[in-house]
Amino acid sequence: MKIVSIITGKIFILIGKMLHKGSSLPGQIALKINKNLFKSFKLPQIVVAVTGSSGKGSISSMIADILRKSGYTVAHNYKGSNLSAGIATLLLENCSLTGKINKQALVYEIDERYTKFVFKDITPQYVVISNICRDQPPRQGHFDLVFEEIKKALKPGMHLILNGDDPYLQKFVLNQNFPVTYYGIHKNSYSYKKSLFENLNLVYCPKCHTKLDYAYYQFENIGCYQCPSCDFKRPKIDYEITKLNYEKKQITINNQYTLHVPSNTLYSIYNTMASFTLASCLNIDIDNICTVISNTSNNQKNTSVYKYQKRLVHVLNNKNENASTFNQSLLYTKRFKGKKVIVIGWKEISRRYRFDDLSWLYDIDFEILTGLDIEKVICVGLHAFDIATRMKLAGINEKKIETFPNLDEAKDAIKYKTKGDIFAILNFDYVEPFNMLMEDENDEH
Amino acid sequence: MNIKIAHLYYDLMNLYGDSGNIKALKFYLEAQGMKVNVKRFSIDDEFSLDDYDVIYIGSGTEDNQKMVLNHLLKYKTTINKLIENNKFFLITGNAFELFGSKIIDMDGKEFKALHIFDFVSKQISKRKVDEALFKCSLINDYVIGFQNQSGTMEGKFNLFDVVKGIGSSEQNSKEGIHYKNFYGTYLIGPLLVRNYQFLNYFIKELISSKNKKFKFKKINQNFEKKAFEKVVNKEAN
Repeated sequence: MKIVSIITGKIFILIGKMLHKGSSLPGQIALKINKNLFKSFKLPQIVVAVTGSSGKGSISSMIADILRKSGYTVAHNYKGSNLSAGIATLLLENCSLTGKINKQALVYEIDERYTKFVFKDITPQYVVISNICRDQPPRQGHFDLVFEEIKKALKPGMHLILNGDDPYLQKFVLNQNFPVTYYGIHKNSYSYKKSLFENLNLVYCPKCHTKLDYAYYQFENIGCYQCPSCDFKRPKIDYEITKLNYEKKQITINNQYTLHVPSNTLYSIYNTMASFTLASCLNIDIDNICTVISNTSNNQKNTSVYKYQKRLVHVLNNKNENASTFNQSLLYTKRFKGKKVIVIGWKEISRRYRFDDLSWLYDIDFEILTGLDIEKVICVGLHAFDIATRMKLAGINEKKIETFPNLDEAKDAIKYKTKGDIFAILNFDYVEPFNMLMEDENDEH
Repeated sequence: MNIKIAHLYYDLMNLYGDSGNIKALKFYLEAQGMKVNVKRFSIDDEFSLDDYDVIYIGSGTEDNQKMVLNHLLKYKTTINKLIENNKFFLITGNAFELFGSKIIDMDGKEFKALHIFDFVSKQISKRKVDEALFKCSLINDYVIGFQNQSGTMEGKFNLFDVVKGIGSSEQNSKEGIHYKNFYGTYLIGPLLVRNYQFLNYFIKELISSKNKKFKFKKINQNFEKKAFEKVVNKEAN
């Protein structure tokens, strides 16, 4: 059965290659033939899994990159197929007929809810859990349920890589003795004292239910926390950013290693730290890690900044039904001075299901915008009126809010009728259409 | 005129955009010329609910709901008396379960609830998720919303008639409870934002309870109205 399923999987991979179609179908078929397919593989010495609500792709790609450039051969599901079938396909692509993985390292990103199916047999030595935030509630229910799923998958001996600034992730290690390596960001000029966000996953101590105190925040409930009643607090951070310069896209870790980061957004910097920390745990030469990271180019998929005439255009990629991504964009927008035109929109809320949940719009603290110099808020897409309502209730003057059913119709308002720097806070399905709209110089105007 | 709103457990029962209800209430009460004071309370506070005109609780995780229940039970007698005395309560999401007789969790463990109403809530592992289209006789129109719930209930319900979506109990097609000025529904999040007519009804009842002769201003609700109509046109036809 083992060999049959591996051979069948490999045949489908070949067919896929011939048709120039990559998918998780080979894995799906092999899993159908052999329920125990995952038991068929002989894993390499290094196995790393990356999970969490967001950042899986960026973190695992950077880890794979560091490993490769340090001389390892690596198997990685770089296309992002991160459910059981996707991981099965990855293994089939990289194994011999007896199931031996023919690479020195296996790095896979995995959907939070599939960890419990895969970790049992494709057991990682290192697990990076990036974060657990409010993400796709219709699919996930809520963050506590996601936490429980991952927790079920973790087994003693797995070495966790965690953001020590995030108190929610501490729930994984409360009653467990996992080896953990923490990363974090020290207090800096961007940290703030008074909480800016209201709807958080955890504000009470997970041990004794006392409200946590914060010396400072970096974002949402991420920062330097301490329980006033018990010993729960931000752990000792192993790899900490001691100096952060967004303008230069430069960070210094432990006062010792200075490197360039691919993007100047907070989440991207945390993602970089996750990759850095994991690579350090694998005993890869730190100078080498720094060089690889410094030479990583910005993934334009996430954020990009360019000029349109004299105006700066910041394109911020968000995930609908994920309040944290939007909150990040708002915190980013807040960093800049001057008159701003905000564009918010999406084509559809979710590709996954037929219904539209809009509740998450009220988990986002759009109120942050009211403290800024806002010229216009341009609401675009199928839910333009829902977005406009949200803006109004956030305290934006109704006269500054405009609605358009699609980007084409919003073009004049964005390009010609406004003057300020543009902050496009978009769902990923609007990023490319928006950039095309901005690039199009053949406007009849 | 002053309106005082008590937003209970704002930091624990805030799972699905529930604070939208407070934002909408505040915005439109102020548009009617009210001076609105929103006070937020949580499990470390003692509160005197008598001092408030509206009491609101939203949805939370199952764990947070139990933490809140433990705190809220101290106020059981007060809450019962306030509801009987026509105090306005707006309860959304699984906060609604707190007002039944008991909650049975996924492991079969029973938690005594406030027992203002007789219904029993049972939490199940497979969540019920759907877009809702209800009819509401109070406004003689539709109410739209979203459902994402772990609970199923047994008892009597009367606030909404289910056109599409999930009813409170599996036996009938009703959702939520309306009793005096108590409005409880398992719809999650920004109920009053998405339903401008229900919001207007609520505000009218609230202000009229303090001043029967109050002259209501017509307020622009263009965005809300268009957002609402888009859903109703899609769902009801």
